[in-house]
Amino acid sequence: MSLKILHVEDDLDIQEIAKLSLEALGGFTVHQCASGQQALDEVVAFNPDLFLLDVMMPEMSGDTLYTKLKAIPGLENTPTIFMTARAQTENIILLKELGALDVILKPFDAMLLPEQIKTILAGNS
Amino acid sequence: MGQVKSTWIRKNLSFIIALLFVPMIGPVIAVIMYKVVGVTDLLLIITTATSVTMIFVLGFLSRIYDHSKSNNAIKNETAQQTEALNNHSLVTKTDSNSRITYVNEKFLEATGYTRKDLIGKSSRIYWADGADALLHELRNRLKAGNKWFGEVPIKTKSGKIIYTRTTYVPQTDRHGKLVSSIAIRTDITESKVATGDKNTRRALHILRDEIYMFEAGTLRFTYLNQTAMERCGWDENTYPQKSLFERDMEIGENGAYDIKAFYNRARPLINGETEEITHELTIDNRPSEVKMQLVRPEIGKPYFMTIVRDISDRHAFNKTKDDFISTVSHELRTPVTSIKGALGLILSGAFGELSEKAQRMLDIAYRNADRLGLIINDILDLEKIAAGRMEFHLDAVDMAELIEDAIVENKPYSERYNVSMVANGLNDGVMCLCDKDRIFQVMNNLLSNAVKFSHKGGEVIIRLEEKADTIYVSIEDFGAGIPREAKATIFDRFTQADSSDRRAKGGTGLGLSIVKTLIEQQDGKIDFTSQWGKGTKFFFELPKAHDDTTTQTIEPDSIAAE
Repeated sequence: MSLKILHVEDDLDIQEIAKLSLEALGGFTVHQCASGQQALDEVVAFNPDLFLLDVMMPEMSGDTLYTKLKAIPGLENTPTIFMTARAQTENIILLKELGALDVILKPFDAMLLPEQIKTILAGNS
Repeated sequence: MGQVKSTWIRKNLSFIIALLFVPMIGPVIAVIMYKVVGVTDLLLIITTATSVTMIFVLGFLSRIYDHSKSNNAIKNETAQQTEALNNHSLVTKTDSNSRITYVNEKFLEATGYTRKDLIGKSSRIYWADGADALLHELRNRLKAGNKWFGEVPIKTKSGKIIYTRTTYVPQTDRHGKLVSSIAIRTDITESKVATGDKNTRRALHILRDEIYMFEAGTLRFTYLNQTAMERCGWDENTYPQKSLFERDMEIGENGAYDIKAFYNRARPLINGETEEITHELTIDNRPSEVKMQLVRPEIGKPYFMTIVRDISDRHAFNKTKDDFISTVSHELRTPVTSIKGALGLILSGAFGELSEKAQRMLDIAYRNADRLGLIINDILDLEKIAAGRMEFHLDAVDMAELIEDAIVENKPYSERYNVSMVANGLNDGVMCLCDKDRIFQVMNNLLSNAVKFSHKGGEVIIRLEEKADTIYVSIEDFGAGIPREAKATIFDRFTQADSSDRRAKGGTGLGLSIVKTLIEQQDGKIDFTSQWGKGTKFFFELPKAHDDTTTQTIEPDSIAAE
């Protein structure tokens, strides 16, 4: 059974590339949402093993979504990795303090993304 | 001697004549009465001659008395004038070699010297430093027998300067040669300072910043400029009765004036550790920058001078700038992520084999997307450094581990250039005091540079050494090297050894400038050696972490201040 990742990203091109990378190269099962609200609506049905959340999204930011996801019973311990543009480096510490496993910086390397995620999960297991 | 005698005779000639003439009056009258008038009565002749002689004697004595009286009056007047002069002026007398021969009490009082300090010494002792030109001019005038008037700064025994308005009067011999000179000075220090103060205050009055001056001891206001008075709602008559307690510059959490906070802030000024302190406060709900100095005037009590600048506009501007940068960074990186991601997947062969030409074209596209990403990162980093907003979290970092991670990170890149990376001395436990992320960024930059400028099939050697107080890291390549003419500017912005390199090798020419700043702001040093045609070695040193090292943060503000 492959690892189930809920990927929330508002940019549809990045969504497609990430899906291709994570599924074709990483062998993960990926469910994607374009907004925080959509993620909240669909998360229980998908029941992911990992959240992969973009930080800067309109309407609901990644960190707000994280707090809301964690409030859903049964998802309190689901590990989370954030994806963010590098200009917010100082926010990385805040995101980690919030409870994130790690933060992947954008632009990420599509070829290395699955490997990166596996390394993070192995390091925190 | 002869000169002195003849002057005395000339001055007293009338007395000498009278003195010789008076005894002759009696006999002359007796002869005239007897021979010319024909008086034979001896008693009459003697009586008349004696009477006339007595009249002349009395007249002579009365003149002597008057003369002596007037001499005494002159003497008294001169004594009074000398006393007045001594009370008012600082008087010194010097000989022809400028050696001090006389000083009055007032001079000693004002300068703190004793007579022993001065008599027989050169007058240069009390001339202020840097007054050589003035001294030269004065000597020339006195030697020519001319008086001199002017402003002269005098150095007191304690080194303090007092300002005097001085008259120099030369005394010459009959050949016109300078024998001595007398200097009569009026102390004008106080009025000079007052005039200076008045002029300064006139200038301060019209400034847009608020200026407050208040006594260091009582914190009572001694001056407020126009802007400050407007902000407080006070005027020239009101503010002298107010003190800092009534200006809400240091309001504590309980809403009362926090005197402790004020003195804590002012302590470095009071202890003389610094000349100025700057901090930000919210005054009247507006962000304000407060600059404070402790002025210790030569005359009068020490006082604090505080300049308050409303920085609401600056804050608003910074906020806009931050928002802009944040947006730019997000908006630019998002498409770069898509481009790189899509190209990377195609190039990996995920969608089947590519023709050689297509592969080459996509390589170019991928390389340039990569370069675009680097440019965005570098520009944003530089902007942060320039604005002093880069924060450093210093911690004990295992350097060997960090280098290994950086090598792993750069492996795909080095493989693309067919360059191998060899590490030496990566012993565990070599702990360095630095910001892990920033040094990782430094290593990434130096490694990718070394790979980029190596020959195909070449090698990059990374060394880690532990020194007495520092950790030394070097990254060496055996590529083209840096030409002599480019060495001086290699750490400057937008510099690469050859500008064509920028296009051929990719990169912005900003990387090394950022690397240098990152290293130096963590108390480190970076340099390089290079031989044209043989290769380049970059090396940096960072402080060692000690066992008791705790996490430190270098705040952006302190970086900006450096």
